[in-house]
Amino acid sequence: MTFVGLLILAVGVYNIVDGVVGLVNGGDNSSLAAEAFEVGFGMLAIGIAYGALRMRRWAWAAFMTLALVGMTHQLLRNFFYDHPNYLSLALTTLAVFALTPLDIQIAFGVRPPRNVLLD
Amino acid sequence: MSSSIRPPGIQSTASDVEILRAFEPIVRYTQGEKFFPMDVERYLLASSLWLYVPDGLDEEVVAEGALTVAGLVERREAPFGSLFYLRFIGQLDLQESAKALAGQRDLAKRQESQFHAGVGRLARGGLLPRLIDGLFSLSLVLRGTVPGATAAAAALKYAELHEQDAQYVYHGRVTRQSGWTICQYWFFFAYNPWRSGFHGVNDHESDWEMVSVYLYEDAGQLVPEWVAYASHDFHGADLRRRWDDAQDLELVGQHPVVYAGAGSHASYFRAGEYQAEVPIPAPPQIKKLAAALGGFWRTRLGQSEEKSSPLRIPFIDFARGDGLAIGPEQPNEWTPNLIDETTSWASKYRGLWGLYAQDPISGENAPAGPMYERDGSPRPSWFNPLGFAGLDKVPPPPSEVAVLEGECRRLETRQSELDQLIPKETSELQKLGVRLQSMHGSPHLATEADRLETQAATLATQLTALRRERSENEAVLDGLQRQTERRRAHGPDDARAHIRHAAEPVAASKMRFDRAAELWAAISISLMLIGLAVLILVAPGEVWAAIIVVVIGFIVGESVLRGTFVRTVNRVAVILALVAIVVLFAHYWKLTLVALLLALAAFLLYQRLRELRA
Repeated sequence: MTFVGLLILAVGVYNIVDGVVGLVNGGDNSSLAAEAFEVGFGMLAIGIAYGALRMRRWAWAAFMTLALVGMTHQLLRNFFYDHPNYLSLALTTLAVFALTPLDIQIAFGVRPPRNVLLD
Repeated sequence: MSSSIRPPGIQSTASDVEILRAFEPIVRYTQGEKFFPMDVERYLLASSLWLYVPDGLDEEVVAEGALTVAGLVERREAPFGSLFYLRFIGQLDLQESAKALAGQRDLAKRQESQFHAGVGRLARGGLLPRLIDGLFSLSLVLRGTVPGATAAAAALKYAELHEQDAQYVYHGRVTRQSGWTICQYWFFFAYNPWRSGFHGVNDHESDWEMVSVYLYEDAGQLVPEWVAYASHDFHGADLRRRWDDAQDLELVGQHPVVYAGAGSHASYFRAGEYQAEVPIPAPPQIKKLAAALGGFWRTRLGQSEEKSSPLRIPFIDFARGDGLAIGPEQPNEWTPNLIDETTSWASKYRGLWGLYAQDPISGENAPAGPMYERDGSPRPSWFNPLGFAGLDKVPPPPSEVAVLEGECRRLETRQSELDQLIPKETSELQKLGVRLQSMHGSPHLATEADRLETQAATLATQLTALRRERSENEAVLDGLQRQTERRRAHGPDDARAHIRHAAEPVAASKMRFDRAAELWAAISISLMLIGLAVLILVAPGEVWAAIIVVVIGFIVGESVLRGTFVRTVNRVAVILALVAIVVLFAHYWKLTLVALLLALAAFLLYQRLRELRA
């Protein structure tokens, strides 16, 4: 669980650093907006990592939502615009797969234990 | 049946009609059902007989009002590929259609039996199933279908026939096979309005449904043991329930209760709403690929515990049992009509019992009679009623112990044979081995040694097979002996052990959708398509990216209303992560390959060094 939390933390820290570096270096409005998005994404990820390290249910759901937004953004950049941030994409992908196994979902309280029948 | 308490039966000397009446089912229909089991001869009088000829015009053979059983079964020559079919409702023009639809509304008011799907019907399927459902409906435009307003006209015509003679008829057959006496109750309906009346898959003129009761003879009595209902999606042993299976089988006295699907008339053991799945016709390779992807999605990615194929369209079959009930001790009784192989309309007419709509996937074509399939081949449920319910391998209870004992004796005899054969073969093999050993060091005996080596190898293989057979027989014999003891002692056994897949009504928790979800389900597909059309017009340069964002937005938005947000977000994220892997590999395949090779090298090095240190 610590690994998952640290992975999310890594996603957050990387995005903030990369975003801040991009903002400092400057550029056109579009790239500045993308860097600002990255900083915001990173800050949210750090907040979520805090919850993930404490095994909070909301942290799992929040990270998945954030990952969905982040990956959609990066993949759209890859397919239709400029090059995406591949490292950010790789880290988010890794975190999604780390959070997906059933046991992890049960640990986070996202899914009920295997022997509980809801009906 | 395991219990020593036997259900009451009927004397085995009773006539076939008496046997049928003793166990005839009670069928409970759903509110809004307009067609009930009727006599085929009355239907024939109200129908016309037609001949379909490929690449030609359909020809009317016998006009409505003139068709009798004798006229139906009359031998007629027809070219290959042609097909005889009946028409209950003729071609309707615009005026007749409007009249039929208006008449149907009046009929519904008069009968005070209206169907309401209820909140949540549309929302039960997700966005993708609803989109496929929509495309399936569109496919009806291209496929052959029963013309619009036919259902309404059929309902009016059936109501008129029923008013003239208010009988509910089953066509009963009693047949005897392998120690079983089988009662088949065939129900004939003038029309199947599942699609037009109950949001189902198809409409077709005429419908045949069947319920079977399996009896065995004991001390001069015929005793019921099994009952099987024909149903969507299920086959063989899954269709039958044991007479003492209180979990599924509802009995009123000696009469099993059937809950009939609204419009489809399919039979269910319990009242409820069932999710029926219609397979999408696809080449076997596509089906295999879909199954493999489904397995990867479920097991490797842990995304679903339910095994459902993406190549199936879910539909609801409403079998609520809140409408008309027919059967013993019910407001409406059955009129039995005995049939067998000599019943001419059943055995001599191989055509369809309603309109041949020329639907290539047959959903809208009328069925053939109880003895035949649509292509004229024999119907398994008629010629093999035991195999139909997976009972061909089950002996009747009174002979079960004798069959078990016979099997035990046969195996014991075989074991004795093996006990003699194995030492004999072993001795032969040992002799060969000794002879082979004695030849070592004698080069002039090389050819003979090779021959003996081959002989020894063959004998060793045979001996291994005999030892395996003996070992397996031991286990089988043990099981047979335990089963024989249980049967002799009438010990308890599981009435449901034969069931692999049982039809279950949709759980209440899966039907709880509020009006917002229902409204969204009704408008979302159209809204999404309109949104995509606007995007193509407004932002043609960004259209693909915008489409992806809109589709993901709709999927996630819908999941909020359906209460499946967390699961949906995870599913979409996993799909995106899979795409991301492909993207990353495409960009960094050299680096990925290098990383994999280095990781493999490090792993192997670590393992070997550990071995060296050990």
